[in-house]
Amino acid sequence: MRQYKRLTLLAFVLTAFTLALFKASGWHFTYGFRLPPPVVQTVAPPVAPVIKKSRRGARSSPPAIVMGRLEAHLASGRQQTTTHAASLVELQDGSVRAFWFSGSREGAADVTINSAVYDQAQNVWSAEQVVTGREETQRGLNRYIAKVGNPVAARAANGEMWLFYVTVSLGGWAGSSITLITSADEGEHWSAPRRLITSPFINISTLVKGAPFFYADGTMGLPVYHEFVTKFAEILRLDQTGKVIDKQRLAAGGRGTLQPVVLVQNPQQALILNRYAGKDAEKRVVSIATSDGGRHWQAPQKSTLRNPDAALTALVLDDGKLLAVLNDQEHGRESLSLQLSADGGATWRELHRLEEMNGLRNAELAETACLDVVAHLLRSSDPVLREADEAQLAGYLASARTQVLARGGCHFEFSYPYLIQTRNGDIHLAYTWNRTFIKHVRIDPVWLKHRLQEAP
Amino acid sequence: MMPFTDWAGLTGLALVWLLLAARLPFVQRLSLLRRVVFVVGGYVLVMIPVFGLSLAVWLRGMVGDLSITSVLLLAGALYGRLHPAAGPLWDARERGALLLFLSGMALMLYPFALGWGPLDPYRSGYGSIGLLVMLALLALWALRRSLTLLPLAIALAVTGWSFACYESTNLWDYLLDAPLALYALGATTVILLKQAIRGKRA
Repeated sequence: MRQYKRLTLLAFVLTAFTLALFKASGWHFTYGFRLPPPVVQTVAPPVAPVIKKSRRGARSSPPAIVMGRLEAHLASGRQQTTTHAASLVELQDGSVRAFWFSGSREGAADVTINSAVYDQAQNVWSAEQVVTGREETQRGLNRYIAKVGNPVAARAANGEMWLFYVTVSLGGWAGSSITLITSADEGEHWSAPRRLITSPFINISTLVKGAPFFYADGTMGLPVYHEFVTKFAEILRLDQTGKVIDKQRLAAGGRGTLQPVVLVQNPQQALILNRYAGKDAEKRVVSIATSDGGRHWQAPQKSTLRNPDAALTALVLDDGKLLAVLNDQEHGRESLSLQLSADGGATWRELHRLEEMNGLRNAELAETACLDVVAHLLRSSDPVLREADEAQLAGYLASARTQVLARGGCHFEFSYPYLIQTRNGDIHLAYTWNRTFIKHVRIDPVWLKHRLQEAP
Repeated sequence: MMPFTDWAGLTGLALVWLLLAARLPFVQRLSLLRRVVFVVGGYVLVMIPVFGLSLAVWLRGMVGDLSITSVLLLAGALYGRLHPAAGPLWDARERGALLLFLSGMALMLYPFALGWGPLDPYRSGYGSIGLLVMLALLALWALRRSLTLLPLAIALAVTGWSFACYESTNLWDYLLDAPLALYALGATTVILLKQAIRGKRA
């Protein structure tokens, strides 16, 4: 009887491993990157060109020379909320959809993932709509969820729109896991949520911020990062159904690499720029490179870009130049800078200062003076507000006031930038505006070309 | 309709609640048939949402899906509670071998997976032939040593992974989970300490 049991168990073991080896033998992927489709520049749309802006974004007198367009809008519209962590994706019709999270405060149970669409032709943002929230995610995932955050959108290989976002069941953001929902109709309707299992330790501490990219075999690379116990950047590889098929660590824990942004330069070369969350006094963006299609990644290097432990964004232009947007300062997030590298990330120079409030950090402004500055910034952030009367502006001002004055002074924050380039060559940037609104900046190729020529 | 992977995960977690409930004194006094009814009723209760959240769903948020190995041990423990006259399913040698294996795996996996060093052993769970061969050799070696629990646990975990019983695509999640790793490390330490003390006395 005992011998019979052992033989049965032996047969089971052999069958189990035969099945598993069969499955593993079909587990196949290759290295090498797929380049994004080239930009097809169209005739400039018939909207008035702009605009030479002052450093604080104020409108100056009408330009004598057409310089192309750099124009701003507020993408989000909800007031009296905390709003953060935008991402963008181009729709099939050339418009742009943005996602962000919004609620009574970051991490609150009422936070939802929201979205709006920018109509390039009409030059306006649609009304904000709720995509998903804590309760809907909890029902779909069949597990308790305490809060949601950080949505990152992508166009999948099959044409669907995928939206990754983080959820937390216990503790702070370091306890995050990634959830995926998909849409076959450009974000109007969404699938049930699906949990990505990415960590052996109760599946916690995998967060997403950077834009996904593609490998040559059609699988998707999702830049992610780990925060529990120690911090490090990773890449998840997803197959065309969204299943995790590989995970690659980019740096050992303790190197302070967070929120990786992957810049695919050619089928074999890519550069990753990481937010630096380490202990060094001199905080610089950390870069990690590959020259064999992502099979191996070189040791992390400090770049020349300043980084006050804040998220950054970047993209590769058609001619190989790199654009980045980040807080180019040693501490704080009171400014936002558009930077260019013409040598693959070795050196960088500022093309344009998008926001600059560093000067007010220690100015000890009175509340009324501070609110005057906020009103000025609001007017320069959206064409509708530029023309709005005081009553129309009041709601926006009250929303911003809550955040700007929250810490007992006049504190500004421009953070979590996210860049994409649409097929017509326009650059779209979204970022958190004082944790109150999501600001969108559209830069057309003419403006960019002029700035590239002007910059030293 | 609930996906199979969710049902599988929640059922494993329901076993935790059932095992806790089975320890209640009045359960011990029930007849075998009533104990079975108690378990079936308890399973339904912990799976039914109250104010949108069942006990199993809440626990799943806290600890995630349990490994197949955990489910096997929980099911064995629950069987022991319901049918104490049958005696333990596995003797101390069997349990010791499994705990030692799990402790070794936990030490090999968690420190590195949490960022110690540049290598991540968790990556090998994504279809690595090397990991499968190592586990197969270990299971065969255990069988040769007349062990049954260890090869059974490994084979069940590998089968669960082959059929994608859980949301995870990573073999490690079928073999091991964090609560089980903590339990195994604790229990192994106690066993080793006891052996050391006994050796000293001898």
